[in-house]
Amino acid sequence: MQLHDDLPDGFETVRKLLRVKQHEIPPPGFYRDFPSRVIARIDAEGLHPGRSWWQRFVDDLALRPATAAAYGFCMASLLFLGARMVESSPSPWEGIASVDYYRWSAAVPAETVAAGPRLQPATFEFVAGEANASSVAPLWNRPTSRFHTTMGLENLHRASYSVPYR
Amino acid sequence: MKGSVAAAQPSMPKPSVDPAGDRDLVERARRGDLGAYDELVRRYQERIYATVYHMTSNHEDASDLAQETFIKAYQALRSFKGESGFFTWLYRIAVNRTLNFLKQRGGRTLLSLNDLDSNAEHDPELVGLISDKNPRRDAALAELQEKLNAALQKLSESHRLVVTLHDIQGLSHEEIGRILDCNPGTVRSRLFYARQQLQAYLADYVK
Repeated sequence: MQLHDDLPDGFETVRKLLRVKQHEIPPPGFYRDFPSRVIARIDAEGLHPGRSWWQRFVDDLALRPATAAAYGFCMASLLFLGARMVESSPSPWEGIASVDYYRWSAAVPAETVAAGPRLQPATFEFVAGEANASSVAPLWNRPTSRFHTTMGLENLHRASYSVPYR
Repeated sequence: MKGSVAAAQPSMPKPSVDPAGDRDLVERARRGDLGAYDELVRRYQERIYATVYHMTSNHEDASDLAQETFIKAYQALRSFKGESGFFTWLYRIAVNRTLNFLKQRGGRTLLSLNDLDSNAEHDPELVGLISDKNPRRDAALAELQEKLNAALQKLSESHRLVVTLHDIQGLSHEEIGRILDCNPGTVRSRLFYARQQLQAYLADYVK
């Protein structure tokens, strides 16, 4: 089996015939224009290898306003849901926070405040036992926690309150 | 496209492969320097186009595939580790894309041949083979070109590939082995069988 380049006669003729292929040339100007066609396509399709995924993402959004709007809506929805979840989850300060009172106060309309005499302040009733617990969520619900003990608040009791309108 | 004889142009110039220069250009192109990539395209466009053209025997397909090769290479520059030369890596992309294209084409061949340069008529090796076939040299060459391309298209893709890379492009067995990820012995073996088949297909010209 002849596997090397010292070709037998038939193969030598084939090699000579194949020289025709070396004389085939593309249309005039093909090689002159080819690089600029490649670069133009790379540029038009924004195919830069050095860009981070973030740059590609931003560029994609710039090219597609509808996608950008959809992403914006999704992000806003996520933020809103996140805020709602934070609001509804129990706060570590919930047991001792007396700010609830201020929240209720702040919720009183300004005209009600301006009415003066008709306004009654919220009443706080400190109760000693469960029997007197109000339907309103108690302000102090963990009076014997370590925090209360550390802070010297172990004698605090449950409280209920009401906010009268008019 | 066939029929006319184009202006003289050096046939298959073999651009010098400059690995150090390539590395620098690749590094710059990776950072988004399109000018550097333009230079790389200029360096290798003829070899890549010619390889694809000889595999497909169709100028339009070759033009598209060569463009896609350079675009794919640009996108994949980050994955180019430099273990092989840029030239070898680029060839691999071109070869894979071309083989995929031929597979999709499923054996249907539509020849769209390029013109022969004016040097072909004065190539002593060719003139000796065609002079007694046809008194008109350009017509004889055109006929040979067509038969040769038809014969090449009859070869299997792997055989056509080694003939293209070795006998037409002038790459060594070792270089071809690196591109095709096989050993040089396999390349030699494929080349032998490919030449044997070509000899049979071109029996009119082979005495």
